[in-house]
Amino acid sequence: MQMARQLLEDYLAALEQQDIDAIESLCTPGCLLEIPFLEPRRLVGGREIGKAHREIFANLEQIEIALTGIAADNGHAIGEGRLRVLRRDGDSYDLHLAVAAETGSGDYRRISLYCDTRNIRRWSDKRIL
Amino acid sequence: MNPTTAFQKYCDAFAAGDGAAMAELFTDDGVFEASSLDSPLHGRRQLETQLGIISNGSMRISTELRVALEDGDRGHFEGSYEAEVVGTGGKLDGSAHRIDFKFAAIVEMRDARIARLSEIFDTRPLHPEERQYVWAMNRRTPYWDGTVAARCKEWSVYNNMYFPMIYSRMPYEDYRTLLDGVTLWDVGLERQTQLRGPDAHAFLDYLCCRDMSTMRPGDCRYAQICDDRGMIMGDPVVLWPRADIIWISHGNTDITLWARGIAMGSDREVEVSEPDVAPLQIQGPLALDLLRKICPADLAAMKNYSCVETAVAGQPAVVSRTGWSGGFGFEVFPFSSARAMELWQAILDAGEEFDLKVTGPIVSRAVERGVTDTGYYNNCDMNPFEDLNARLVDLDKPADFVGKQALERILREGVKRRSVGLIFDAPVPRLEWFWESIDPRGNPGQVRWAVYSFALGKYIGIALVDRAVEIGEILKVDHPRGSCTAEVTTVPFTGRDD
Repeated sequence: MQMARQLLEDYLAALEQQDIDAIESLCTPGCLLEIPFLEPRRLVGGREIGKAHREIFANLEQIEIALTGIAADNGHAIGEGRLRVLRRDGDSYDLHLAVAAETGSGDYRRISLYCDTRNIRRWSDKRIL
Repeated sequence: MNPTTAFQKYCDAFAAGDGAAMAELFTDDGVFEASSLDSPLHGRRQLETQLGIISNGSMRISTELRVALEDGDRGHFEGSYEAEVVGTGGKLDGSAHRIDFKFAAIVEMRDARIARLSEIFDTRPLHPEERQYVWAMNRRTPYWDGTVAARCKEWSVYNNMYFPMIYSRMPYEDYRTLLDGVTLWDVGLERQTQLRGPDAHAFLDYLCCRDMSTMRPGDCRYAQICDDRGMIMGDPVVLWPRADIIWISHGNTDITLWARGIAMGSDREVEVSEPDVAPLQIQGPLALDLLRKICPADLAAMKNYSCVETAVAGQPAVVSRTGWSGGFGFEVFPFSSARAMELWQAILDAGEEFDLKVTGPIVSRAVERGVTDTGYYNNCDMNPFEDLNARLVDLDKPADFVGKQALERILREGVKRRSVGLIFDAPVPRLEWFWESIDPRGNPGQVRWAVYSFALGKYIGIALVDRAVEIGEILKVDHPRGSCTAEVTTVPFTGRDD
């Protein structure tokens, strides 16, 4: 199995299950996560990434990612799909999403989420999930 | 052509601003999706037009493809896009208004052409804030909700109301849509000073320096109103939509207050009021096609500067062949704003097939065409002989009018300044207040308008300068980011169809 594709699928599965332990175990000290919903949008290492996800999950009732296509080689994977979110305050989002994963030498890993946040920014540039 | 080659060719054509080359890469029914678009583009014709517009809204475009993965006819890409926005005047600190972001893209091929291209990215680098906050000390127009939904992000204050100016789009997209398509502007802040009564027409003539005595019901007329010192108070469009109603559709000066005061001190039988009329402008060459779908009047037969009482989307309204675009268009004046959002939505629905865009006034086009806006407080301290529209003063008209003696005196003593066009030799920022200029003889002037001209590819302006300044002379201009020079030229800068 291609490593990048495995990383991508494992991360999305952990995200859907809101499994902090799984996310932290995926995220090596050199792991970079780029996620447009957060401020800052670039997080490094399992501890920082795990902390951010705890804050995300505190607001979420349910999160679902349905990929419609994925392409990969050994070092990279890019998937396209929909991100569906139900917040605890009752708001829900259904957004076009792309996810890229990259694996490299040593503990380098990168996961990048691509998604437009314009309709859920709520008149500010602050954290939105 | 495989997906990677197709996407690379698309990126190259985008950087070159070549809409035709981009469209050629797609199948006849090709689809383009992007996070920055409200809806996908379908088919080569729309792709050529819209991708051409979008790509020409930026300059110094570069795209770096960092990851390219293929799975048969499908390509998945990751990369970065860097560009500068054209026409904003840059940021406050003088740096270019940049739009740099990372993106993912998906390409689906069919018969060696792109059947679907989808670009997914966060638009925050394009439009960091959704909109500015406003304060309750000014009024909103009845179309407020519609302008927010259309992603207005910047308002001006006009007649103590919020004026939607900038939407979340590249300036060139708005400009091009005005020239080739159709735009909807919320100008509910254009207030109507309503005159009724037996002396309404004569009172109008008394208020205006232009001869209004020849105006008849169904006419519109551009006019100037001066104070008793001969200073311009405003340059309204006057509408006579119904035999017993005259509207002075004025700019950013409270003409109703002024007219009421004058009426109170006179023995004229005239009632002055401000009705609940919040206009909309539908501007652009497709305005007729749109409006005829929801208006039974014979709009095609309407002459420029005429108006008709009719209905729009079932609501009683006046429609006029007027506007601030310097080109073709209409204004809609509903008799009540009680169902304003229904009207707004009906226009959006009618405009869908024409790719209607909700925009603010396209100031860059207005200045290119020499269309300005003269108010008592902004663009003030100017008499009509110094304005671009000096011809609109009729000192010989039969009736007396406010400011006549002062204007006669100004003429006797000699007009000291004139309005001229400027072509700047360097980029200038957005004009937030008048900039000082110096002519070759050391006389001061004021730059009162400054915009980027998409038609000329240069920054242009309109200045009030010493009467002796001649076409072709070079002025020195100081602006908040430094100094530059500007060549004096004539106005308008472009023709109606340029």
